[in-house]
Amino acid sequence: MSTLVTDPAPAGPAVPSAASRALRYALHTTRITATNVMFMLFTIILPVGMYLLFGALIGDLSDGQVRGLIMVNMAAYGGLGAAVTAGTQIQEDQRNGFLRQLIVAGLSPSSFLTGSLMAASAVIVPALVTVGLVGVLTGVEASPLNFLVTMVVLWLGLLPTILIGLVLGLLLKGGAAMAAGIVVMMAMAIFGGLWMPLETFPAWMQDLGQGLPTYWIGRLGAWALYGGELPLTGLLVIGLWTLVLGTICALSLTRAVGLKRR
Amino acid sequence: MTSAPASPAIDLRSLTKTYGSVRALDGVDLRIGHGEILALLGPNGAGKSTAMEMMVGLATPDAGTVRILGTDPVTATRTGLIGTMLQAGALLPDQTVRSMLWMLHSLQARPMPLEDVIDQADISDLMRRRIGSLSGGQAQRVRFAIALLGDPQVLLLDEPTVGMDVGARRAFWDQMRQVAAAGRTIVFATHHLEEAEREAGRVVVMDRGRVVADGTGAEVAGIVGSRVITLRGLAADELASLPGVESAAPDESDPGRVRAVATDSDRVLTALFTGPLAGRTRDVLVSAPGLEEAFLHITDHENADHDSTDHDLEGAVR
Repeated sequence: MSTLVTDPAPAGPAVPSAASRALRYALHTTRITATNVMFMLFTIILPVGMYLLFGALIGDLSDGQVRGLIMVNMAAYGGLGAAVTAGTQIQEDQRNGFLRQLIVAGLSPSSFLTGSLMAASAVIVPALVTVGLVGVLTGVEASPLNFLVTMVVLWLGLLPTILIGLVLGLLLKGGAAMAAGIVVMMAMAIFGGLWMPLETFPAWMQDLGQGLPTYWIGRLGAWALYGGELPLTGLLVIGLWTLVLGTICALSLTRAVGLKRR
Repeated sequence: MTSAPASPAIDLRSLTKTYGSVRALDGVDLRIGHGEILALLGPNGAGKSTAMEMMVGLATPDAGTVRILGTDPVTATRTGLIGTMLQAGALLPDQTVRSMLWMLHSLQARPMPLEDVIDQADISDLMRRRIGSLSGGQAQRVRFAIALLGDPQVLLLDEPTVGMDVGARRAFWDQMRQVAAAGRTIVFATHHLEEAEREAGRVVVMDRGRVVADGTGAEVAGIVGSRVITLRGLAADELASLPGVESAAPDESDPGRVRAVATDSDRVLTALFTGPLAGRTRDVLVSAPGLEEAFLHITDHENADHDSTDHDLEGAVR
């Protein structure tokens, strides 16, 4: 509850704060997830492969700008996949009861939640950046600054998708969370226009897509890369999703742990 | 009641807890002093695990209070005053022992140096192993290490030797005695009556959410004065008709045998071998009852003997 202690070394006489414990938990969870080879391979290879495929097919349209849009959308898709998978996977701790060990070790339920959020935010970075770098290497034209801003915008925009993973992990049990994660991820990618432009869909699907954070993550990424008018509606939609999902997370946590907070 | 310390290590007062229609705890009162080594006995569902969960804040009582070293369980947990070996506590199967302990160690308030933990739990040979590949007994040693990470003053162990063979259990208790020598308060739940008798200075028996006996190991074992006799060649009702036999039934674990609970085994044996049944009686075994028999005994006499036994013991102890 005081300041962040960034040094994870064993503490001296002072008892670590809740924030410090959340950070330590996040660091270790990031380490454990990042050393999961299958997780890393799948979350990186799929979006990179799809970028290369779509880029080769239609990347040269509009003076190569389409290639950049595909890069943005596939980076967002990669981040989405990593976020939902990481969210549900981290909850595996909670499902098999390891959360009880964490709590007995001194981690509070809310620190567990913020730590999980931090760890999931960290493990989506490789997928994002790899698609971006492959994009730059294969002809996407962007200044270093624009590229960096695009990555950061995508990363921030993916916050609600991390929360989706956490919520699914908290509310559903075992394989159901993983299965639901895949369904939600596909739906978010397709209806959010990450694979094919939303404009090619029937009107009702376009309406649906405009309510999804994924559509606006792509739009915001394109705005960061190529400029134009800032899609304010997107900020609103993403903010709303974050708020609702964050609230569900907080409310379902105590129930899922079987703990009443003091 | 006169020598109770001012601020006990563990102080449970009038704890009740109901899960749905099941009354897990039904008015548990228990005070455990500093440095005591206490065994908590009871059949499954007696409330041992629920009581232990309350001591570390994983469960909250419907009514009553829990104090650990004068503070509440959540604070005691977060400041590392109390460490716990959870029953079948979940581990991270895909991680190495070192990786998981490193994580849990980093969360402790005032951790014991990891090397000391490894030494005291005797797990140096397991550190590089993937947790999913450990045997049941090895996983228990890792759980014991988890309980030690915070260098706690109060140590709770919920069935620590489950899954261990005889040798591993002996080695575990050897380690445990060293840990206890540091003056820690230790509470362990077990199904092994002989472990309780040998290792604990005080034995508390729980049944159906209540404390039904509280005393030294010898005192509690003395509640069940009966012996178990099993043999071949006789029918259950023939055995039941002998003097000194409380009840008799076919042995569930060996269909060829009958099994009797005897209040006076000497009388039963005399009757067996001097009476008309002597010619058919074979393979007689007499044994002290296990915990299961102790509880059958206690719960069988719940209305009549039980309460008086309870008071006798408390009188003997206090």
